[in-house]
Amino acid sequence: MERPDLYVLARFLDTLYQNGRRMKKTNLQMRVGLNYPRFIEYLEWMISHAFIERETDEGAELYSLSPQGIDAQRRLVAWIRETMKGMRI
Amino acid sequence: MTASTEESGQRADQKLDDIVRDADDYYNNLRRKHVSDTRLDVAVVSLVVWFASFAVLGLTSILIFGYVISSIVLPFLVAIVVGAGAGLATYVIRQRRGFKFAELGALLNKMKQGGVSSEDGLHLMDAMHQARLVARKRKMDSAFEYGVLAFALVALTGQSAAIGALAGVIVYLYFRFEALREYEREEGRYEDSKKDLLHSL
Repeated sequence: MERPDLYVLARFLDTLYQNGRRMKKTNLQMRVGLNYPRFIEYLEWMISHAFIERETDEGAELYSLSPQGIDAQRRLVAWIRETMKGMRI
Repeated sequence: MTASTEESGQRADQKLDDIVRDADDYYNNLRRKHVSDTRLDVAVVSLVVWFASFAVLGLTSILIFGYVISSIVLPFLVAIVVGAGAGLATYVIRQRRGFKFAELGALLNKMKQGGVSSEDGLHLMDAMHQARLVARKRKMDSAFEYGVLAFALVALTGQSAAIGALAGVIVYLYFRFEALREYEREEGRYEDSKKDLLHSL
């Protein structure tokens, strides 16, 4: 993926962070609202960047936010706040 | 989750609430500024149009009917009507432009009611950016006002409408160019900061 959409990344981070537990792939896909090929593309990108951890439990693949993912969400929020502060009328 | 990640999560939640508060302040400032700018624009446009109409109609009447009281009074009254019409049109145009802020207001209200996510924060930030661009459009209006002012001043002092028009066009183009350059610079900075964030994640 050349340049992922910031909104979609934020949705992944929010969903996994707010859920707090490991999620099944289908569940995660429903929550982020992407079609399957696009979802897989983003999921792989986030796993390759170590934002999401994949674990297998009793044959089922489960996904959760890694410490880097939590840090990414925190940095995203901090960046939004800083950018907003820089907006002067 | 570990204690440190929980703590950083709480900090992120706090910051999201702060984002909504900051955006609310920004929105209120934007609305106040929009109202005061609208008043100023309506006053300036009404006055300039009234003066121009009065000058043109008055001079024409004097040339046609000579120095009689009706050559002054009638153009004066007609110019008031024309000036008021121009002011009203300016007000309507500015009000329409103000509707762009409504999107930001609606988003803020929605966010105040429920939990805020970082995606909401991004939406809010983009809405704020769009609202700011609308506010920046006023600089384009100012360029036109400066152009008219330059035309009036040069035409009156130089007693030549052609030189006045030339001065007006130059002043208008200069201020318009500056406003556009600033607009593009800001747009570029905003997009670059998004790219930088994606690279840093």
